[in-house]
Amino acid sequence: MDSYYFYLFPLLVSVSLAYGATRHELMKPILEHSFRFGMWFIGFVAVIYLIILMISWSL
Amino acid sequence: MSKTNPTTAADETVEIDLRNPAIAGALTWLIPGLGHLYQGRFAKSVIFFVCIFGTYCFGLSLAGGHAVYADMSPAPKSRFQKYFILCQSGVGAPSILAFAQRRIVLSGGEPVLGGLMAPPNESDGSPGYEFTDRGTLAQWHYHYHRFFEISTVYVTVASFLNILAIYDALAGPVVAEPEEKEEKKKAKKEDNPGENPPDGD
Repeated sequence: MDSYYFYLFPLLVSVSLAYGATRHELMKPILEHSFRFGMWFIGFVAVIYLIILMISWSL
Repeated sequence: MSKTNPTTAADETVEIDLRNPAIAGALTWLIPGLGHLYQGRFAKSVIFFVCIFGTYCFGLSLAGGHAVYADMSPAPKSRFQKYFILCQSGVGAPSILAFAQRRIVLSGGEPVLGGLMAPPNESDGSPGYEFTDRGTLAQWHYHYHRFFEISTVYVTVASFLNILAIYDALAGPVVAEPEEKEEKKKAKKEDNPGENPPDGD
């Protein structure tokens, strides 16, 4: 509960849903787009995390 | 009465009655989702209210309501600190309260609502803390430690999200041409080249 990462996921859900809602009007496309955006964001953050991790190994 | 006809990924045309977009935008700025409720877009109203206002309030609660305040110090450490309230003003109702609290404190009064979103008084040392020679802001950081930063992030993200919601209330959703529709058009042209003669024939 004290970890920063725990607080990332509610924010991610909120951002994904809000962003999806600004791109569509019907519920189904909103949810689909939100899910795709959320997965993309997790992947992006994971890549950045791995890059920073590899950099920290060399320090 | 403004209307827009976005095309969804399901190839359905949805007609939206934006009513008065300016009023809808202003209501959405005040409370996320209120403008969409005014327009009759109930599902999106609920989504924006729960996601944006919920994020804002949850974030605010992590730091006891202190992460949002209108800085009143005459010589702030940086311009960033002084104008940060502007980044948090994407949601109107709470930021109005923050500015109101600043006004009350500047005029010598006591902040209302238990000091919610009241600016820190740098010269005051609250009882019960060891660092009585430090200002109120430092005490908040000491008391809430990492949650003060997390709270700031939550509130700022919610504020920026509300800008998107305001645009949605003003002009409807930003709909891009669906990829499936493009692919279907291409496939149809390739399958039946004879049905689509080049221009000029």
